Amino acid sequence: MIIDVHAHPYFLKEMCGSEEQVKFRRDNFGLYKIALQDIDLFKRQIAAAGIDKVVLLPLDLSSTAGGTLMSNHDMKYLEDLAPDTFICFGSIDPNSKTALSDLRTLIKDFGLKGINFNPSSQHFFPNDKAILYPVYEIAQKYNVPICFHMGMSWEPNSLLQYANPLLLENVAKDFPDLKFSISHFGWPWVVESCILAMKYTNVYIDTSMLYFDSPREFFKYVFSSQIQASWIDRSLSNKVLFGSNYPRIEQLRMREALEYAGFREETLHKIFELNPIRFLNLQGE
Amino acid sequence: MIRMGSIVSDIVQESSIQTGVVNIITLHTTTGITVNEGLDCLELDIVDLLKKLVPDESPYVHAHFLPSYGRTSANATSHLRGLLLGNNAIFPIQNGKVLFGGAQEIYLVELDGPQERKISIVVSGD
Repeated sequence: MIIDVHAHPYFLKEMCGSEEQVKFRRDNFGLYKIALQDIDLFKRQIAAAGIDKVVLLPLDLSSTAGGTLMSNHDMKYLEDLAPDTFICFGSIDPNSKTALSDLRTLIKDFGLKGINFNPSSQHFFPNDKAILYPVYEIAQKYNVPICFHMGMSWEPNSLLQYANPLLLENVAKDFPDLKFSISHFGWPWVVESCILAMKYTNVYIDTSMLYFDSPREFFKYVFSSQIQASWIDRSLSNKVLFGSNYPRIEQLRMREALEYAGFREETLHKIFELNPIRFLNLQGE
Repeated sequence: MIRMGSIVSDIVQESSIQTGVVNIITLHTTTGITVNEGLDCLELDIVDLLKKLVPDESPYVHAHFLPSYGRTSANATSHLRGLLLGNNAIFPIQNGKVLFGGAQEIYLVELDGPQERKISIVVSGD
């Protein structure tokens, strides 16, 4: 089985209600020429990429942009349309006065499988105790994993000052039972991401990074120049998750890039299947 | 490789045009329209040839983030294979039917799919 832990569902026809909504998503996600496509075509693309399940990530930009890229209610609706294929996370705005109640609704009422944050576009420091620690306590209590978009994000209003993975160290230490992932491999802070994943059992890293060149070329660069493929094979094979960042790039191209990056077959099996199952609490399904 | 000769034939017959031409053109730059014999083995050979002429791995310049799109382009091979195939075909119409040679099939070649595609089929004549 192959699980893609990082994709965004903003341009599915069935989930686009109005032109204004589509424009809001284009402008704030920063994807301008993508055509809307129906869920059936998306599922065929997923299958063509050899992928079995996809984690779909929304984002609440209420404070910074005045709206959500997709509501938690819509994420629940989307998951129900294809429960065998879609694993839907929710999102809250930590700066909102209703953040904690929104979080409880996300978990208990909608049953969404995780929480998606992008500190750089939501403009918060993930180690802000006053705002975030109550959120982390609830997430840890309910064993709900968190995806943190760290490193470089393409969203137009995103700021790197919020996105250094080292900002997550206190979170990892203070919430040892809270699983979270560092998206984009924390690029360019790739070594920092590796350090945290090695040091803390609850920290994972996903591969949704592509900033220069083709996917294969970029992965070859990262896993031979910035770090070594052997670091992953030998020390971090249980901590890396396959993530594509679709629709910024096709899932098949990112999958192939990972397969050509020089990892052992056993490592790839963990990245594609065993690690995501553990991270997403899918054991027994 | 998608055989579409029968689709074109049906459209021509529905048009009631007896003598004329039918133009088939794809509206995309990562598909091809080509004519060849409709054989499974030949389809494999055509795909192999395209991959030999335009290898999957090469330092293509069209492999970078496109700010106007907000995403990375990594489909240079699709564009270049489409360039080699061409984007259109034209056939005469006689007695209300497409004049195909005995071995001819019209192919839409998907080079970057799966995607939703638009093909223009224009029938003109009397």
